Amino acid sequence: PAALPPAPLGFTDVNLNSRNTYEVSRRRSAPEHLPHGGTAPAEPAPPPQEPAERARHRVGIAGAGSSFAEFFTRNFFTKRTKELKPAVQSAPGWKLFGKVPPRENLPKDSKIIQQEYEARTGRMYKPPPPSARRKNIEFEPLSTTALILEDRPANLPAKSVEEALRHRQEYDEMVAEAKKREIKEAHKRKKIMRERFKQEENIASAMVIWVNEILPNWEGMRATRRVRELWWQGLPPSVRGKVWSLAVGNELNITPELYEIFLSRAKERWKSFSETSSENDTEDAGASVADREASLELIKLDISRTFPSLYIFQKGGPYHDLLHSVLGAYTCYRPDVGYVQGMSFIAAVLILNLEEADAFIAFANLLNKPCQLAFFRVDHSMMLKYFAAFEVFFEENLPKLFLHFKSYSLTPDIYLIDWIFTLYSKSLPLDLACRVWDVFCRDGEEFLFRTGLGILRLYEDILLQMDFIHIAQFLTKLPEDITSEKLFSCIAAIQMQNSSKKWAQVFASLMKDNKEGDKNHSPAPKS
Amino acid sequence: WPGAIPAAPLVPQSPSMDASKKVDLKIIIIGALGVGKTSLLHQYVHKTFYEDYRTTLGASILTKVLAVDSTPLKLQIWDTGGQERFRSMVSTFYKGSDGCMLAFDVTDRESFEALDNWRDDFLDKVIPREQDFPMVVLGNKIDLSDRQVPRETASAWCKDKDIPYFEVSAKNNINVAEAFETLAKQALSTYKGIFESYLTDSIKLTPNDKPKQSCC
Repeated sequence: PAALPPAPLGFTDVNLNSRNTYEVSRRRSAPEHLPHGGTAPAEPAPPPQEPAERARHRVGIAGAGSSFAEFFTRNFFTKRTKELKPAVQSAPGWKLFGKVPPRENLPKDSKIIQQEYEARTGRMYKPPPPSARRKNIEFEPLSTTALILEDRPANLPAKSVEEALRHRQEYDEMVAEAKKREIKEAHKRKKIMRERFKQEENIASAMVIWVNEILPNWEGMRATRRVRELWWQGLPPSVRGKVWSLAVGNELNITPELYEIFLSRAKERWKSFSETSSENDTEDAGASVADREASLELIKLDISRTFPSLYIFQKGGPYHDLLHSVLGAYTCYRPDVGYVQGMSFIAAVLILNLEEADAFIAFANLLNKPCQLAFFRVDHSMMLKYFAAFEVFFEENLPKLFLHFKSYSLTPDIYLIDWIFTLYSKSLPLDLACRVWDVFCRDGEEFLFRTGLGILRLYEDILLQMDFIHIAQFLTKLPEDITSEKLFSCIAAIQMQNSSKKWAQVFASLMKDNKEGDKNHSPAPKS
Repeated sequence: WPGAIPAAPLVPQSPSMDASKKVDLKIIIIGALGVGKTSLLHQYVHKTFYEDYRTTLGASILTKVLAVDSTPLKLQIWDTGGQERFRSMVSTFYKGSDGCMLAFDVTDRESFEALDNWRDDFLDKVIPREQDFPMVVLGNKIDLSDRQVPRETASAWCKDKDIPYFEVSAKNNINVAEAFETLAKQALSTYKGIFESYLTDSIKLTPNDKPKQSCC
């Protein structure tokens, strides 16, 4: 199964560079914006995908896939026969400014705006766009005309012929220079656009394959080489949630009804908690009650700390209640585990990609995996086993760095705790974290540790220059400009084979060292 | 691409490590979840207060250089996750500490009641266990009005254990630096004491008899 994937193509950039794209795209895919005019929202709904999808629209929680490509998908299907009205009509945005006298600097800005706009709409509606007219615009360096050569005002002595000539020449040179620069920039922009279109096309075609071929034959195809390779390259956001759900599975057999039951139980508890706490404020509450309710209080505190930069999970944000519900229901469903910090990030990522009940089902099943269970129960001895297994592969893959860390007695718990608890969603940019999740769903826990090694490999040269403190600081707060291409090529270069032993075997032998004969804990990932 | 990454200062800006006088001390801040450990630390080190809280999982480390009685000091301050359940996990970070900062939230009685556990747990992990291990207690969030832990209660608890107590506000930067500096002073004198007793091992009395550290 060590089918080593090829260099990644980098889909995730659909979500472009911002962690906020989710929000933006969510709004975009909100029902009211979707189909045009009279058509009923659900009716043109295209891919065979999901009744869930439709439900979401009805309810108006564009929770799930909710990403740009999903929007693209829908439009791709619904609109291909329709006119491209909205895109074309809004061209006036440019024309309006185009009429402004060339003296002003506006045309340049508007041109850029126009380009961006066209690029955006073009991406959505017509993959191979550049029309003759557009090309024209792009290469006419309008802004340089803002530099005007004028004669001296009449009340001043005129320039000498020589001087006038020189000025004319200087002027021409400046204009020529500016034009050259503009053209160069335009080329650069065009290239970027072309790359983006290419990416969009890749996503579009991958999406079609996922929807039409793979998802309908999931069990038969999931393990094929072709699917695994496509999977490595990143799941198109429109099918991401679906694939995650399928890959995580539902061993626990949780139904949406069961979720509702636990949710209402959680709500009752919140209600009774707020009542009692206001009643006997000064009295010592029973310790057990306090413990039990602390978890609920804790959820409240933690929700506001979940992806604070997105502003959607915070109080008053669109997903605040949803996150609260999923986590609350979980503490009722698994009181033995309860709420543990880090969970809010996992639930949040799921909520961004799945419908509420599906998010809960995936959440509960995901946390039921051996590795997640070990961490969230804070089973320290098990965690140490995971760290030890990690170090085996660390030494094998990055011996120099391994020794460097050893020389400072820098243990992996310092950085791995944060990475593993949140499945990288707190430490990596969200779009990149989603790509890690993609392959984590494919390969299981092993991939979490492989990703960790990929990060270390990516920054090996810098880390080798650092001392203990700086390494610890660097790894607990990774650079924000980390890109998926670079990271995934580093991950691909990490071998999860230790002198012919695979992760699961290494882990199993570590487990055996401790408890002989105990074979209950098979960490073998489903894959 | 490595050039694109903002180069972290690879060498401490302070006098180099091998300068014989320079002392590195490890300080750890522990306490219940949400009491503001990270905020206190950021206020002290960066002089800023962030309204949006970040969950600390595991540990994160900040450094601060200061001088105590003309001894240059580099504090290595370890910030830890505060959820009760993390205590066993976090405790692996205790080893090698020279000082401990116990934090609670004056508007959250439970966080104060948890101090006993945090302290015991810490002392259990420190070898040899000494009752007078450098420690300070911080009651944070005195800027808020809904106070649940009276100053007297906290003071009494600390007095009983001979630990200095500070009422602080990370938000308004009240008393924060004082608390850190007091701990640094204590940690330094303990450090020096151990160092000296090591040098004059045969002459000195056993560590148990060494004079009690008193703070300010």
